[in-house]
Amino acid sequence: MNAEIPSAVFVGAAATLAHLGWAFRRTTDLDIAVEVVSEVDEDRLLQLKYWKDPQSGDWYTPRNVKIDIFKGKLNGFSVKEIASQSEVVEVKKDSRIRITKLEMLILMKHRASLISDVQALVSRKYNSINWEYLESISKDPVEFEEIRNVARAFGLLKS
Amino acid sequence: METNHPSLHILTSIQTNLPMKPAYTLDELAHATGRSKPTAYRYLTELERNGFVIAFHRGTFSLRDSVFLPTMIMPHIIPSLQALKQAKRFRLHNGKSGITKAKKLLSGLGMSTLDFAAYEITAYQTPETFYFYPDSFEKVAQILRENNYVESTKGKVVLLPRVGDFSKPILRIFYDSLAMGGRSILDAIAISRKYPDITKSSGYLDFLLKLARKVEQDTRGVDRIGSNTR
Repeated sequence: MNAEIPSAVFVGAAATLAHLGWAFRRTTDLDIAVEVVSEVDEDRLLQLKYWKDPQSGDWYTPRNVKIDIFKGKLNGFSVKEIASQSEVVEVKKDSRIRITKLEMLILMKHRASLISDVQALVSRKYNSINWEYLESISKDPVEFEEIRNVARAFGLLKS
Repeated sequence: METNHPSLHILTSIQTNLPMKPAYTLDELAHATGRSKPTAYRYLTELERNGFVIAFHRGTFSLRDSVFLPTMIMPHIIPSLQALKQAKRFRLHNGKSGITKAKKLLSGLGMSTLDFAAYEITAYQTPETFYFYPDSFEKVAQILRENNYVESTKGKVVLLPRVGDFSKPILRIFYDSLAMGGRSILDAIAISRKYPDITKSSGYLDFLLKLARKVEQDTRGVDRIGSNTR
């Protein structure tokens, strides 16, 4: 995917999987945020053998995986912010993808009310969370405290 | 096994007053429901007893999102919640999950549910954990121990005690998926799409799912017309 659409950053299940371990539950569709809009120009996608379902308007990869492409803002973050903070992970040997940074992903899931994903990310990745950074990108102190409360509920945070 | 359902007024009060969030404080619960802190604590205790609480530490707690399902479905999912609350998790002694081995070992000794069972029915979401209702809980737990499995809070082989009705396996997997909440609710919806006649006992939820299907179909039609006129 990143070879075909270099600026693509995985923002949905694939990012969650990359952070939580590849055995975490997933559907087959992919969500990507794309900073360079010209990379997902319809003609270019068609050249790359991507195809569009004429009934639903949904795009599919050449491997027939449904793909949702975000070009503007996503859960309060611009694709530019998502891209600049993204992390590169190795999926398999010599194959890397760009994924949303953990703290940003937690806030995106929180804003989308995907509470079980927030609970899983905070409780399983507690030691990897940069709380100062998470606070700096939270929209207000209430949102930050709501995430901190997940860590408190799981007995991970003492204060 | 007998089940005690949470009072309807507690569920209604929570659904009406608490926004969906990944965690709450006891103060928030008291404030949202307009009750004293001791009463809020009693509410929480009742939710905990019924399996809705997935984490609770010093006045802060996380709930399964299934607590927000229509109240009329609650009697159907309480047995599943109580089974989940009493679950025992296992992994292999060497740290591996041991799912493949457990599936072979336990074949014919009970019924699987949730992740793997839902995937077999729908092929929708990849499974992560092997949930299993043994015909005999102790016997199967013993078989696992004899085959190098140990109990572990992070184990991916999960034994559940048989609580409630198992006469219709697909319906049971559907209710288990609803009770589990989170991504398993997607499994429940996928099951209801495949077996609408079996899952119609979910009442208003079934009605909502049918409406969602209708809107989805109708909207696609509108999109088609819209794109044709551009």
